[in-house]
Amino acid sequence: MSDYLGVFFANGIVIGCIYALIALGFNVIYSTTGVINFAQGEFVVVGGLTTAWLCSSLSWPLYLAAPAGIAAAALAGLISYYVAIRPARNASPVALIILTIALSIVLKSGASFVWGTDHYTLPKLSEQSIAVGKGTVDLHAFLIIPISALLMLLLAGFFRYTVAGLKMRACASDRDGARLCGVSPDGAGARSFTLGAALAGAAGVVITPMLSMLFDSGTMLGLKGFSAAILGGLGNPVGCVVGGLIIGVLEQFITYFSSGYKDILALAIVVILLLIRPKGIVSR
Amino acid sequence: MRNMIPRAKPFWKTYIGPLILALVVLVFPLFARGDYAYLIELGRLCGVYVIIVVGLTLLMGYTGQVSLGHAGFYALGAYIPAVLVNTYHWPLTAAVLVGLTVAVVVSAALASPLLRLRGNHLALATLCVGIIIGESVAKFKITGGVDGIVGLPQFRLFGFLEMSDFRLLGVTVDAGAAKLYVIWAVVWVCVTWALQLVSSPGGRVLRAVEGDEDAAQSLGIDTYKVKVKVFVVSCALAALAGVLYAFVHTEGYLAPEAFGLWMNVQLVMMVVIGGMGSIWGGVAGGVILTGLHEIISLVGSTLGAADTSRIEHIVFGLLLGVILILSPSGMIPGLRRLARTISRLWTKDRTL
Repeated sequence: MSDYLGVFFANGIVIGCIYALIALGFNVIYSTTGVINFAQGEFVVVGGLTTAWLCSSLSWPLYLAAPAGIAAAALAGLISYYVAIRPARNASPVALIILTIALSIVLKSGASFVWGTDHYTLPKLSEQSIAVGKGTVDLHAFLIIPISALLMLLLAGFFRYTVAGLKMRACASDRDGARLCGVSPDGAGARSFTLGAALAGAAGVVITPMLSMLFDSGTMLGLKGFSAAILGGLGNPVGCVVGGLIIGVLEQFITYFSSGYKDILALAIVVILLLIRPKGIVSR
Repeated sequence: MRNMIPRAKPFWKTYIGPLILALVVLVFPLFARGDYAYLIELGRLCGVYVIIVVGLTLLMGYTGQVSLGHAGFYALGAYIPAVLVNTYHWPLTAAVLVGLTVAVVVSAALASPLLRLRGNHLALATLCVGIIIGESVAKFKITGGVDGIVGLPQFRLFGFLEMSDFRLLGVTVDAGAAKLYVIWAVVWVCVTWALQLVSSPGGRVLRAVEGDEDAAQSLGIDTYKVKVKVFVVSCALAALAGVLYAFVHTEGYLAPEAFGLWMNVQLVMMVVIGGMGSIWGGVAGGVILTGLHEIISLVGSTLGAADTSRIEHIVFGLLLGVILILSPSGMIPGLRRLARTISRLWTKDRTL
């Protein structure tokens, strides 16, 4: 095992970055609107599948297809907000959770009609691989780490230095207070769904070459992202990243022991951590 | 103060509903004959779901605790006795009794830590538990993996369930009707008990927990205990439904698809579509969704679609979304409000 420890750890960090991105998108939506978005995994699929479809069927170059995929996910998020979430903004939190479940079902089956039930994949950024211990890790996988880090920095910059980001933070800390100061919670909500979905879409684009995307891959990805956000402590972006990395690494080590029970054991650990520390691992 | 306390419903009002339900179930096989005989099987499945939904309505609608994982407890109720019978060759009755007990003990063991969580955390934790059980059933060798278990013995009930076609009010009725009666007898007991519960002081305790947990606590209600109790009861009902599914409804065949993530979602939909805060809403939700499933697969097969599950998902999802947006409290309360508005308009028209 020890010879391959490095490989598992590296892969865990890479998958963890993906989960962290999904969790960050989830967190942006939750902080700004208070909605637990169970459809987050579907935005990942929209991003990944659009890019893969543009590349394979329309043979677009990757540098055009990838932004297009992210934009498609963002658009899906924006439309979801105006069609589903905004009309029900006075519903109870429980009803809102169930509404996002309905949204995820509609998006998922919609995706199955648009792209069919086939697996899609993308060419890797680089076909090279790097030796780690006695095993090898794809260079593409390693490239995911700086890409996600860059996206996270951009996100932090957006919230720190732009007016739109400031408005969303205002809504996150106090929605009524923000409204009194002339910030429209509605606009901020729409922007949070666009941004959250775009982050998920970006995660989908970078993960598609490694996992190959299917219309219903989103369920597990979304659930892991959701778990990462909750583990880190809802509303805490640093926690999202930490939670994502923890789940990613744990999952890879479980894969080493029994690949069939990967999801079961990962979810069991999530439940146990939830019960021990409901406020998250990184909470103060 | 006195007139602020809601007056107890008159006796007949509590029991008129169950009475009508019993009559409808009794005469149902008379209409579901010949070409419509498949409706009996559908009715049985409806019954199984309604039992779970009644428990889930008590938990989600009345006590306000979300569970997205009840298909897991439904699976426990079906699979534990099935494994005991299939692998260890236990007698059926003993296996079912032990299986139900184990399912209840497991749910109680899970409930005590789970119900310390609130809101979103509870939703995630129950969803994880549901997926863990559903996936395990599809993975373990002892449960037959994805292929499931075939050839389970069925309840005979002293030969009542083994009859061939029998005569009812002078009409020959399909053999499956006996199974329908058994399942709906259990449904009837559950519904009547739940109606009784929610109109009793105990039901008002549940509503208090739903309305404001902290306020309920300040009134001296041990809210944690109440939540755990309701959770365990709803899990026990789900497990009971699992037993009925495995040993009465199917012809001895269990497959893990019936207990997966989609089942979890469907159960929640049944609770929400009918109306979260009413037992009859839950019954309606179970019947409507099962019926809709059948209509979609019928229409799909006449149109020549091989696999209607994706169409079903999109229709169910849209229906759930539309109902939640138009009337977040569910369809039955929404329709009731609509009827009141219309009747008010109508009376106004007359007076003007």
